[in-house]
Amino acid sequence: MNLSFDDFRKTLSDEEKEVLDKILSDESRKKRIVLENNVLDDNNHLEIVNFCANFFSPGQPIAERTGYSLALLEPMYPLNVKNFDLGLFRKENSSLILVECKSSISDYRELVSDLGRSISEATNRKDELERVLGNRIADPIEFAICVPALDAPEVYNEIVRTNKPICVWAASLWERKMKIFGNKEDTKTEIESGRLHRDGNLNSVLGTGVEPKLNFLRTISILPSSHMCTLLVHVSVLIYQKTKESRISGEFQYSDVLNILMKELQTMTGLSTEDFERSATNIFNTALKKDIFKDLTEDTEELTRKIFQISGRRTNSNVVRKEVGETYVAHNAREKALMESIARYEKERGITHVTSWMSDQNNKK
Amino acid sequence: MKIPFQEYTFASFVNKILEMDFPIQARLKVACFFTQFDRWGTNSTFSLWALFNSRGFHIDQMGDIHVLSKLYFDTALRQKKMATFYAYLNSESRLLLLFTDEKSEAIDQTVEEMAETTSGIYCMFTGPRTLQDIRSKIVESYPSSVCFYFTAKHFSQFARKGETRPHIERTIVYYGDDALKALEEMQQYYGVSPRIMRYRIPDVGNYEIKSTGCFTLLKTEDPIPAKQLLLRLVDWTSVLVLRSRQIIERSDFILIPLKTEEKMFEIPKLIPWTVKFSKALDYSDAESLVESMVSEGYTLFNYVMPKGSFRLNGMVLDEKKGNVFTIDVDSNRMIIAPKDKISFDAFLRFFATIVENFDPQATVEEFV
Repeated sequence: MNLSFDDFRKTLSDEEKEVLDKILSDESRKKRIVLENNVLDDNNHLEIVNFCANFFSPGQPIAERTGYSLALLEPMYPLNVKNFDLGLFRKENSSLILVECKSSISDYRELVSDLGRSISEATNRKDELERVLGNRIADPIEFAICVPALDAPEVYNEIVRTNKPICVWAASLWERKMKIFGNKEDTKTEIESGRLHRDGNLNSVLGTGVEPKLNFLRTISILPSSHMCTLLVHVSVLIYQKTKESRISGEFQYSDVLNILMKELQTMTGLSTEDFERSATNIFNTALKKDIFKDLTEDTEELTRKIFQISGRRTNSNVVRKEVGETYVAHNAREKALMESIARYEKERGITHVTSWMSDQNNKK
Repeated sequence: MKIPFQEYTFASFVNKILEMDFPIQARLKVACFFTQFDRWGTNSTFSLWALFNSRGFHIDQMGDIHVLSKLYFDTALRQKKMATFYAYLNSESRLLLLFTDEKSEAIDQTVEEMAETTSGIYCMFTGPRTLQDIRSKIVESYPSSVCFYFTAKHFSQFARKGETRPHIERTIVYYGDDALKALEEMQQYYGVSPRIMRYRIPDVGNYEIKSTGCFTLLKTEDPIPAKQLLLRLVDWTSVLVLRSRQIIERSDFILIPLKTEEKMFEIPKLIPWTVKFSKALDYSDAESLVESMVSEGYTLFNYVMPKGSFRLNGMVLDEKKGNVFTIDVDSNRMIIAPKDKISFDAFLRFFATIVENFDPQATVEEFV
């Protein structure tokens, strides 16, 4: 039976408690760094998604010249698959390009292999995707991965090696340029293999390299699968402003969060009201668990009728932004560090459980 | 200043102002505000009339002129006093002119305070570049004119640093007939940027021009031409500032429908405007820029500011006017786009924030 951290701590002498507390503090610090980096990665991801999406937003030169328009955010999300960030649709021939954006890559092989699985999923569930889009989709669906220009050669090589039908869009974020990466000598094979687009116009525009006009402006503020911390900061800052204007001492309800999510995402996703309700509930569960929101009506059962407040200092929106972000990271870091601290303590102290062979066996399986 | 109660056209009101004798201590001021409205619109809930009314102003009408009154706290008398403004709204430029002889603090506590926090109105912000253009215009029209006073500020976040202790925040108030030369020197040595300028125009009068778009006739021995010049100063300045407003007003947020066979999506179309910086920025300026924004009630959230050369982008909440927009900044310019329908005055305040707190020589540019 696993003891909770507090229960375990109670069993120790004062001296040993001190050792465990030191371990906890060290583990929390490590987890904190990991979490902060995750949140940073999420914002970097949002940046490259917008960089890519802005080429295809209404009125932009590529959208006008090729007919491909930004249509869907995370097109597979309504099918409970979190692959692909953007769906670009060309109405004239019902052609769809699913685009995955990566701001950094740690393992090229793993990335391409994951993409391969996502491609199979998208291809196999094309009829469901058609329902999301509300339109027939021409065969085959095309795929693209937008990666930092430095990573493009390695990603491309891996795609060629594994023969995956993916176009590589190389984004130079500092120079603000995007270019399709591939073998320009043998375009016929490249098109047949899915590494160049079938639309010659799109190939030629992307082939010469394009400069965005809108750069990294956030046409897309959040994604359905954005990091919980990104969502909480976004929602809290907007709620703070809204409740400040209405002068009701920062009180808000479930519907306020739901409305923010729907306003940001409804017009560009195939998500249903139930999907949004699930996301809103998820946000509330996390925010309450981590003391980011305060429940002012504990006697009321129904979530939709409850009244909440943002916890902590609410001097201004910048304070709210900081506090929400920091509370999320601190709370999560401690939570994740608790159990690992016990394990590390036991390891460092050379403690072996009578039943430890069981978990060793399980790990080997 | 008490204008006889009767129906006025703008022309007859100006004539009345010109011919009236003001008490010796009274200083005629024209405080200028850009608004979103081309009429007062008494019946509408979102109108200039409703705006003033909701902020506790008492409103009387005298034809084209509206009389606005509101209490303020007179710090010298240590008591509340009633401030009165004679307001004219130009339906074409949507410029609101407030004629008054009230103290500056009366304007600050009433209309200025409202313009900082309300959507639909903002002061006719006159940055250092425009102040310089007016200076040239005055010198050109009145070669014997003398700038004899200025106040100027320096903030540690300024992108262009002065040569002397650039980390020190400072305000310089200067009296002297060499004020123009002194301002140049102090810009170079102390990095200050002007907020208030005063000119003496021989045989006409002494004038004060504030960056908030408030013009004062300080002193005159020949009131009629002096008052006429006061109005001309307003006119010159409004033409210069109107250009920025027009560019800002072209920015927009539109949802473009995308119809598939069975569904309808709406894709945001961002139409931005830009702020061009007066010097190429580097990474160390990024934090100063964020600080400048935060100090004026803006919150940058879910943003990216990687180390290296200048790259900063994300979402911005304007806490004072209650708007959300998005920015993308590189070393030369900032692109700004609304994330909803935003009244131009919110962006005018944002531009004023950048100019007054970060880059005094920045300009509003068309997005290309």
